[in-house]
Amino acid sequence: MINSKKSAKIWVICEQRGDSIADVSLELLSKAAALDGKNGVAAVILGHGASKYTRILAAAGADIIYVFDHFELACKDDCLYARLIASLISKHNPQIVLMGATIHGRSVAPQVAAIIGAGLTADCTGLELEGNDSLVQTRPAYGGSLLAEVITKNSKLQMATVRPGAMPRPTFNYSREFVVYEEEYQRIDNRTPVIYGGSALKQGASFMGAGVIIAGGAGMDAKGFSFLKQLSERLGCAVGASRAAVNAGLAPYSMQIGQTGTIVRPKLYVAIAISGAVQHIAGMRASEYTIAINKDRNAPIFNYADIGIVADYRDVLAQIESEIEHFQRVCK
Amino acid sequence: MRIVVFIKQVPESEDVKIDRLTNTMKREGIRMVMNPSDSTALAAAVQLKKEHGGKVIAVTMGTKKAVEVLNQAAICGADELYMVSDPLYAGSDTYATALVLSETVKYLGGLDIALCGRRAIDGETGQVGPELSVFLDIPCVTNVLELQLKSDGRVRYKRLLEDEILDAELSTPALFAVCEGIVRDYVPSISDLRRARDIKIINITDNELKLGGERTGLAGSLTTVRRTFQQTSPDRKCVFVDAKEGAKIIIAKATEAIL
Repeated sequence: MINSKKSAKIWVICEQRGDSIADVSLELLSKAAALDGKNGVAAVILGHGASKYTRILAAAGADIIYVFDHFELACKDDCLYARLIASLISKHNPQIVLMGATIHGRSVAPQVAAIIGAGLTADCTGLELEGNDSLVQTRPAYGGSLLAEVITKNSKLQMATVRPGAMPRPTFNYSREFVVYEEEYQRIDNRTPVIYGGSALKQGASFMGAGVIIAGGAGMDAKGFSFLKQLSERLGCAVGASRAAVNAGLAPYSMQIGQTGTIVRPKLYVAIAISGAVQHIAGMRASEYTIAINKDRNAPIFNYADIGIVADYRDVLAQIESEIEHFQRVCK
Repeated sequence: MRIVVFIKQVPESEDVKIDRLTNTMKREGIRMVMNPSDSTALAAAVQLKKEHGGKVIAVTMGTKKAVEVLNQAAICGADELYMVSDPLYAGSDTYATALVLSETVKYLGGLDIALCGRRAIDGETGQVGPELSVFLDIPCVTNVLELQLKSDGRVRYKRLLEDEILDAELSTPALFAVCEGIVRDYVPSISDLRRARDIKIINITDNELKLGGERTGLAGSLTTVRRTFQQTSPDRKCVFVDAKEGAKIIIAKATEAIL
């Protein structure tokens, strides 16, 4: 049935990440299938060796898969990707194009939208179809204190980037039928950047997929932060920092959580010696469970916490230390 | 070398009040500032100028009140100031905004390096930079942590991704959207203040850009905010415990979340 179709109504531009597909791409394929599976869902995947991901893309919900597989696509050049995706879209005219709101996605999607002249909504946390064709896109605004419902107008194509983790976990069905179209890649020009290399963020310093984030504020000292680093290695969690802590040189910018840093939503967020300025709250309020430690009982962070500990952070860290040791003794 | 910096005036705090009648933010009583990452972009532009010469051209689009950020830009080292404002442009979404800004650049005679912040703290879309780069037909790099102009005119940069920091190089003209705080905000001197006084803000309206009302403003926008509503976040009732009990909960919850 689907196989007879040459096109699909909803497209998901998927992202290769390391040796796999970004979770958000799979979440979006499942979401697209749930929104309107009848009219088909297409996945677009670009990269070097991208062909090997067709099965998982189909299992998550794709009926049609467009593949650009070429070694020149290995460096994930946003501008080049955008132009290839835009030309493919122009050929097939889907109604809706979704992409993960990753750093790559939030650079590629607006370029595609500008090339095509499509309406684009950034960093959505909700998507619904209204009257079959109109995509209602919900996104947080003003630091998450508001939600805005956005719709596309004056544009046949509706585009959105969607926040990782905002949609339900994907469901996989490996017996679904699918069609693969190998797209021909041709170099467009020589504007591609030269990549000298990448330095991976240290373990515990990347928020990607982090279930637990322990963040420190300017109320801590360097010793406290190095304890957090050790803790992250032992617990397998990530370490974050408030802007004040970054400004004080206690942590690099890449670890900053908040309005002018990264917005996170882990299962557990532990805020240590962070008072909870609105700018910080904007970056962590969507966390599933929050534990706050602060000397000041009236610190605003406690308004956003499930558990509050009014204490000197050193005392709590010492307790954590002995708790871990106790735990390890018991396990032995 | 022409370095064009795009700056936006934004409300300082996102602790906003909503006007129930218009579904928009109440602006009165909220202090307006230069968007933090735009401020970094400006500082980066001024640093490039100091090292390699050239002109820093600051452009803002908005209501007349936004001249404040242009005055600030002059004090921080900008050489030319352009205020893009026209009733036709009111209500522009990112697409229409990028279109107006790209026409502004063409009207001003082009650029070698475009700099902007990675996103504005009010709209938080981060889309205008990449869209603008398409309209200008130049490549763009987002989330830039560091940039250096080389003697051959190419730019060496570092880009922060979710799991790594990329070290790369690109030819100019190109657009760079920078992260906050990667260059220290410029601290002006008395002579900077004097110099800034002599720089006139030049107004740009649709008389100059001739885009018309159909492609700009509300009419030219491709998205529209249908309604806004307060986030109904689950009410958190904070339960207070002592340090020992708290440490136990942290370990238990962390173990549960990681497993």
